[in-house]
Amino acid sequence: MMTVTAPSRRSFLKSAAGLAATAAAARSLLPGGAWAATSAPEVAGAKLGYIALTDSAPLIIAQEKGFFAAHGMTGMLVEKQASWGATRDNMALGSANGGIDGGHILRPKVHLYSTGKVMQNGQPLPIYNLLGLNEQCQGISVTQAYAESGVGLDSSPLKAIFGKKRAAGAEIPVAMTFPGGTHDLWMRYWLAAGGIDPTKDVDLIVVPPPQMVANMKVGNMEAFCVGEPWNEQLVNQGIGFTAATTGEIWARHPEKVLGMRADWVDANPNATRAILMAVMEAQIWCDDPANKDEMASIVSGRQWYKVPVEDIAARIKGEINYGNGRKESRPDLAMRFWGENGTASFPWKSLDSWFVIENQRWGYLPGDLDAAALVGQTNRSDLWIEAAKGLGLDVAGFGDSRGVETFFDGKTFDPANPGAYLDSLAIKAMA
Amino acid sequence: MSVTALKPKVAGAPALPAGKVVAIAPPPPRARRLSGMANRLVENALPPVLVIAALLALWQLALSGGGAALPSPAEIWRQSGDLILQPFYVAGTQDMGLGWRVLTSLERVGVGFGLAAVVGVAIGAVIGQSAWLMRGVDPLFQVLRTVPPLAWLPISLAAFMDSRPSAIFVIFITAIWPVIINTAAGVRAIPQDYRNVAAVLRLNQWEFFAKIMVPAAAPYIFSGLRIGVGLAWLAIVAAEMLTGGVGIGFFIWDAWNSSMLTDIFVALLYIGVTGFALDRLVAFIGRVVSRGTMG
Amino acid sequence: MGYLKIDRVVKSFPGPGGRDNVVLNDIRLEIAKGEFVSIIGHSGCGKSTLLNLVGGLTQVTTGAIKLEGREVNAPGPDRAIVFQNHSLLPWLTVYDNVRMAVDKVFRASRSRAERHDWIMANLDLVQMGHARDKRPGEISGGMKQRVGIARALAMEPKILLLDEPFGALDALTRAHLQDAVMDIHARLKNTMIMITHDVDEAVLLADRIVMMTNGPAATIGEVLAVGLDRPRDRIALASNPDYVRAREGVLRFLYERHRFVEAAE
Repeated sequence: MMTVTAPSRRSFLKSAAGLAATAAAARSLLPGGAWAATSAPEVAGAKLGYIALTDSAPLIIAQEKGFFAAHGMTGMLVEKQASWGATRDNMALGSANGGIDGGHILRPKVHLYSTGKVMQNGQPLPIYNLLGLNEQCQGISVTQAYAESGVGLDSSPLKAIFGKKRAAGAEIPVAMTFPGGTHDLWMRYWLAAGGIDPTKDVDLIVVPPPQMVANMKVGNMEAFCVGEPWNEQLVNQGIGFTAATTGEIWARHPEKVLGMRADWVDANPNATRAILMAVMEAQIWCDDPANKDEMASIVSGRQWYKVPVEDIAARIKGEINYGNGRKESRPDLAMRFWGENGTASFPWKSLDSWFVIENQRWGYLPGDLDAAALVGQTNRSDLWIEAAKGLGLDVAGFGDSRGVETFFDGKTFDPANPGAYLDSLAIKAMA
Repeated sequence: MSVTALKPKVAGAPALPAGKVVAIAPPPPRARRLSGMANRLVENALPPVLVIAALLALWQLALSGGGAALPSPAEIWRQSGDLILQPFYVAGTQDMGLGWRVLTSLERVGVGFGLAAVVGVAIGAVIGQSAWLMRGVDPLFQVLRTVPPLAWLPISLAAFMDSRPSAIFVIFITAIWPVIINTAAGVRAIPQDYRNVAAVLRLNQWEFFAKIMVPAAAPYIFSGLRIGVGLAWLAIVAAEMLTGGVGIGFFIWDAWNSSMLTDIFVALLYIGVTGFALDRLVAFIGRVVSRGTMG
Repeated sequence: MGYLKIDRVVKSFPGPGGRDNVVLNDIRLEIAKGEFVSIIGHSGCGKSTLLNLVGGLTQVTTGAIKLEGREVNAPGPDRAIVFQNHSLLPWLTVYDNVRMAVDKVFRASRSRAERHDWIMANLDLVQMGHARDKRPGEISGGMKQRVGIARALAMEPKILLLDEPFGALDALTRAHLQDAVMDIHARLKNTMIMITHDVDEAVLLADRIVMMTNGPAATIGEVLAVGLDRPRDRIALASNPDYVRAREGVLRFLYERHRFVEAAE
């Protein structure tokens, strides 16, 4: 069960034990019958999919530590998906047809599925963004050959290198995980900020993570952007180095979310709330530094990710070995699951807006799309608030906007004025 | 040419001396041999065992230097030996022995291949009887049978809108082509003699099919089934890419994703052995069913 | 006369360039019940085609073949055929091969026990009862041919058609089987038509020998009546003047009057 922590300097309410105790106390105050009558889940389980990346840990922990069961969801299934493509297809099927009801997905997928842009036959699949699973801690990896080129957060040293290769007629394979997904957007932002046009100066391709590493090993891959543990594994195997972790590009950037089929959520509001409460408790648990090692050992096992524990343990604590001589201890760049009072978990609408705008920037979504309407349709931060209240948390600080976002190259995104952000960008490829 | 007249028997010719019987010494007794069954076992099992042992030794030698790209047998044993030794352990809903995984996949293969066998033989029997049909569908078959299983997956999914029949369909559509093609060939190859017998006996369509066509074409049908079962087993990896779960196909895909090469090698061992067993099983059934057909 | 009547039968096959190959032209023959008729001729004279026509495996182009007054245009067990290649089904035992024919013909009219007895009787007739559980792959060529005869006889055919049944066998086996066939004919007194290449065989076995001219458009050249008494003993016949004369007649037909000429290319 949960680790009991020694009293720390942080306030009682913010510690994992404290929150759980509060939630339990809140529950015990109410007569059992009233509680049960209003919020008993409609069904005992759902099928959630995940990809073997560290950011899906809250789902795993919620299952392994019994948080789902404690909230009445005794029949939850958390199942590994073969690829992002398979996730997409399984979500379209739904668990009634042998697929899944929701799961760990790249945040922009919420919009891409709901508009039908990436679905088979263009069939829209309405999805709700229920909760942010994590922030940060993805990596931009570059092949060892360019270790001395000085490329890091600034990608511009690669401009000359790639330019020469292009002139010689060579291919410049740069990989990401899903068109329009988070890794695609980070890679494009990072390249564009250094003056490299991702649509023309490189060949951006979708590649499964192990193929990214394998291709780089044989000299067939210039760079890629993907979640952990792949970047750490790459460094551990000496094949390449980390140019930047994505938290350096955009501090506290949103990454994966828990998305579920809109029809399932609409039919099972109580069950949805129970699932959210369980995942939140898992996120609180995962953010506790005392639990990081246990988290790494649980998720890396044969039951879940099946990766060596060394490829996970360091970066989630912010211990980053960049692989080109740089080794830093940056807890601020570590993966965040819960954040202060849940700010990482809360699905801010303004962040959804950024993803829609960015997908419009690169032509994945049409330029005339009504972004506000799409976000309004798909974002269910209201359900998050209800679940947080169910856990006895303070929800006063949450609204629609997280405020102005600032990127490493000085650009800002003001949710109140998204057009200004788009205009400020030099490299675009709008549809 | 001149003909030599036979000399007539001359009376009183001396009788030939009686032949002398020379006893030939019997050969020295052979060294004591093993009894029949043990002898056959040694003859059939020893060569492959020796060859495999030699190959393993070569492999170990070639890769034992550190930093090799592929794992050596010792490395595989070290990292994944438990998978070899414990085929039926269960440590979690998604962590179980390869034996269980093979059984899970076999279930899918069984259904998919079973369907392919029935439908394939039926279609092959119909097509084989009409030269016109053969000419019409043969180009189509030759094209379709080269489509890799993975390519059928999204099509199958779009058609069935459910992952479970989609996976079975991928296996079905991969395995069916050799069954159809070989059955048609077998039906075409029915000797005219048998047809004449059937004509004289006035066998009706059904009797001809059951009593003459199927037994005569049986060797062809079974060679088609053998090829088909192998293909069905290969297709399992593609089929399980979508369904996920605990089959061995998904295990390989997952082990690749986790870069656990040693696990992949062990899984290949299980897959190879199972494929071999399936092939022998179908061949055995074929021999029993077509007893004497080739005689 | 008139049991089997072949009436002005012409058989032709469509050939290249729209012209037809006429194989048999104006065949007229009548066969009495219980007769043993041999058909002999050079290769390509359409003997097998004629047999197939009687057997119904192929249809006449013009003319008619009538058995007991009814026209024959389809195969059937009433005109059982013994093929040159024994045509036994290799996956069935000897017993089952015969049984297949018996079950088909007599399923409705005889009980299982009766059919079993009938099968064994026919196998014993050809001295193959002891091998009833063997497969064709396990018995010799001569034995297979015997089973083929048993199977044909088991259908109780009105006419037994034999298409060079002993052609693939060695001389000794052939002699044994010829004796067997004569023995069967004596016992059952059935009607038999046999195609053969062998002059001695024709004369030994037949009541009448039908001699065909050469193809294409072959026809019946002559019909020779063999007036030898039955039962016939081949050793005694070797010096019988009637036998010798009959033999000479056939030989002259084949090698003098209708010498075989290689078809011009």
